[in-house]
Amino acid sequence: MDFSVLQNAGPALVHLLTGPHLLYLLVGAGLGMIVGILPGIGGIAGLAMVLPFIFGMQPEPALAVMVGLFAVTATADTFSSVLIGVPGGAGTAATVLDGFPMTKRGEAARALSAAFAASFIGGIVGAFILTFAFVAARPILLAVGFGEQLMFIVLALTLVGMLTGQNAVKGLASCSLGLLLGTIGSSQATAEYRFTLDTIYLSDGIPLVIVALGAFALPEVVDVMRQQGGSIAQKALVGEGWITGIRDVIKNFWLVIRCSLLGSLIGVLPGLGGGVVGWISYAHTVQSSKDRSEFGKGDVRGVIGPESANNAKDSADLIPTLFFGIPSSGSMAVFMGGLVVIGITPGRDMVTNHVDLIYLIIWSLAISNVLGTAISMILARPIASLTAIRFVLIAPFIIVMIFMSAYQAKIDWGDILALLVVGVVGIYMKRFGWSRAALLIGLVLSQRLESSLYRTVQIYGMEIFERPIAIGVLVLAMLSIGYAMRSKVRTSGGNMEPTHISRINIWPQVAFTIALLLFAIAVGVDATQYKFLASIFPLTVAAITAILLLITTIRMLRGSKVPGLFLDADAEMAAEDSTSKSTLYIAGLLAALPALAYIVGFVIAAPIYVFFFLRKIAGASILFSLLLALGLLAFILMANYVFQVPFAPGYLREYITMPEPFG
Amino acid sequence: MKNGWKYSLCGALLSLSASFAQAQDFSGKRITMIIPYQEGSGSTIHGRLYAMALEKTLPGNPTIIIKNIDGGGSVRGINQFQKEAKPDGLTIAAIATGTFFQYILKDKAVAYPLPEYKPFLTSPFGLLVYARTDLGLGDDPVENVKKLISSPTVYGGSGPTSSDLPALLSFDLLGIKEKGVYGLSNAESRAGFERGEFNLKYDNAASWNEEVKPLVDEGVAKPIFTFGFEKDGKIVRDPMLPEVPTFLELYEKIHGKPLSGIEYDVWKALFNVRVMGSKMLVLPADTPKEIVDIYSKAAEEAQKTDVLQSAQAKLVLSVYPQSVGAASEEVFKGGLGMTEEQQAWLRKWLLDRHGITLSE
Repeated sequence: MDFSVLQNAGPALVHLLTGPHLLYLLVGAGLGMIVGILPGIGGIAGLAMVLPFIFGMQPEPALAVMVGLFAVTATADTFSSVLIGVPGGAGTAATVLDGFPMTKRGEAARALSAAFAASFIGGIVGAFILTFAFVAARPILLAVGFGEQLMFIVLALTLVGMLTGQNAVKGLASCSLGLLLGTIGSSQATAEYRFTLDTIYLSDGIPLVIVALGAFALPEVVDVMRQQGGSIAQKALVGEGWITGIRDVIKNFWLVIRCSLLGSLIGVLPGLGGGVVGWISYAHTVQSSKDRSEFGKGDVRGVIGPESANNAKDSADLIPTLFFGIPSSGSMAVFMGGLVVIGITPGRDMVTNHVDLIYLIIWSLAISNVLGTAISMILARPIASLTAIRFVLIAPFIIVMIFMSAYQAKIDWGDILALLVVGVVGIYMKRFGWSRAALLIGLVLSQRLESSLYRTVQIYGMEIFERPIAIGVLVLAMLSIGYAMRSKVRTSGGNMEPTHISRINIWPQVAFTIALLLFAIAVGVDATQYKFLASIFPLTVAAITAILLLITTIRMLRGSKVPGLFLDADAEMAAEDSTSKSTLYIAGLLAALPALAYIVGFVIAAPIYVFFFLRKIAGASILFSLLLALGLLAFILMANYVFQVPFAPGYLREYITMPEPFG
Repeated sequence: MKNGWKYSLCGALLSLSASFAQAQDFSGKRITMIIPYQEGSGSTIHGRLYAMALEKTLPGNPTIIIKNIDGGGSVRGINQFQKEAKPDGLTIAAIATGTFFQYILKDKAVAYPLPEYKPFLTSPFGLLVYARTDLGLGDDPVENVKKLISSPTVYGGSGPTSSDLPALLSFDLLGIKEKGVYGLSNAESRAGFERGEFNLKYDNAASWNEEVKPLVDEGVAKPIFTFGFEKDGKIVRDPMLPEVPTFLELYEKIHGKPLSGIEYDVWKALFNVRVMGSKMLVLPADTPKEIVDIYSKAAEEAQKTDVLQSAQAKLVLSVYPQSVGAASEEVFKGGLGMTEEQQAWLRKWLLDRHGITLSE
């Protein structure tokens, strides 16, 4: 192995610390912090925004800006996942599972500082791995073909076994449904459109972020809103929580290292993709913990694991991008575009001629991680105190933010419609105890599973079982299944213990199960009209889903005593607190915003919605409501102008010409 | 920039009653460029490059905002362009091969009247087909093609109805019977090619130096043919790779006669789109001539800006001559010039060779 390239590391660090580079890094990190915390704007938008400005710059400062930006975005994303239960991105949804319950317990500061400290270590581990990746990256790329990729995806899928919740059949059905949702859209092998309901919106499938928002954010908002008058933190804030958070990380140091390595590995391996990292490390965290009873109810380890892995993955993502010119994520594709803009082509050229730049990137990564963590830690306490405010005062802003984020997925009204549909399903899944984590994992892996299956069959056929790495990974997958089957406690991120109350009225639960069953059958029937290569996967998955759902329906009708079969969180809650509002009422409140936006456009609808919400629901004064509504308008206009964030247009625009971004 | 947003608000309010005369100066305006592919795609890099140059050469130095709306092989973005763009020069679109093919193949999702659009810039890009040397390839191009015809070749790409169409038709016309694995991004298929899972592939000739040449230098790959380049009505060798024979040259050597008849017509129509009109910038239908002229002039002047003269721009645009105004209109028409009969032939070919039935 040739480690002589490492001699470039020292000069690169000196280069970075002297001269204006540090300043550029600070600019990048500052911008990254802003786009990370602001709702609806992610790393991709941030990077795209700076592209015109770095054109013509020297490569070194330009790289410092870009690296600074994307390295801290992932850290700053954590705020919304932990504080309000809205995943900052599809990859951070796993953090919501335990992060948000901790916030509800008043431990937001602890959760945040644990998350930041964990992601700091993850980032450093990732940068460290990147340093040595020169030597190993090429052999890995050559060794992991489509067959091996298939086995890794299967292995990732088996981890669902730990996240099914108490009732394994229901959990597997959720995962199966996720796989089925993932088949919607054009088929990879034949380009036929499957179950798109003749809409062009669905021709590329349902965006992951819509499902993450619909399955996690909307149900959480609904839940918190039921307890009118309360704040997110249902108990008093725990002071000095941030020191406890750092202690948590030190106590679980090896977990952090393991998850960081896991995240790096997934970043390096071709074919798995970033969306699954958080879930894999969450499942690993659960798997490797002795006491699992608190997962899903606010176990700090459930925050530490995914966060360290996510940040490590972000650094490792650079490996395929820089060394082979293969972007592994959306933001990496933009980053690659940025490299082209400054005259560098990633790939062999970069590895042979620009080793100094690679080290500059690595050091920039490490330093921006330090910066990002420091800034986030400072902000953690003041921002965490927001969770003690009466929830009805912040709820309208969260609702605005969810819909605004959703619209960024495809810049299409279909985004909002899809969010509403998935949101309703998500609300009932939460209420009746179906694992939403399993659903999301199924969806993340669905397309990859189908396409790598198809590619493996085309390229290798049965010869795949002659490849040692593939077999090794397959054995691991089987062990993982065996482990999950033996395991007694499985979490799903739900935190409700069912009592007899859940069994009193079973008909809503049966009806929901049958509705899911009908969906599976519909997708299956639809699949029969396509060519073999396009129909075999959805047909198989639909059949499995239908069987699992049928088992559940029959068990329900027989009143089986299987654990976790029955759960009606609404009924449980109503029994505890009779003043809680009905789901329907709150869903209506949520839907009022898109309904209004459909007529007058989102830019006008959002402030009006906030004003009336604060005035009527929260009972705030006119002046207060007006000020906050105007503040929101100012934010929206700023986001549109500075960050070029698009907003959903309204129906009125067909008749009245209004200036952008109004209408 | 400082007063930009006030201006844009006032400007936009004024535009409520604006007549076309006012549109000739774009000062303080924000122009939207719709790119129907993903952020980071080749079309986006190309579009951003031109956006930066056009900001400098359009009268009044407007700001150009990039809006990526991908999906359905560019159909979703261009449909949205059709729906939203007014003929006032404030919305432009980048179109690429997929936009043409979905239109020519009459994809039922297409809701845009492509021939009515007003192109003002066209960037051609040559194509290079290459294969792995472990198929037993040597230095004689004709022998290499014969080898490809007789060996089991595996091709990884995005699919027969995508921008791969001209390459797949070329393979078939030569007699290469490749096995296709579809639904792959270019990066995925390149990785597969390097691993030896695929042994036949094509790439943008503009990326020759960075992507393909290292593979050739290492002895992993051999260039097979380029699509050539049209100059004064004749297809000549690609200016990027003059030593590599063109498809038409090889066809003649393999079959003993030049490609002719409807096969040639279809191939040439696809060539017009895929190579000569690879990436274009257009204004919406019914845009007045004055505005189209302003854009054509700006695109002409853009060529001389430091943006397009930079080394980075050369990496993206390569050596190919950019055409503006009337010349780009010419290329645009060339891409749409497929007759009903030729379309029917192509549809039948897709069905016979790839088992694809197109919905109408």
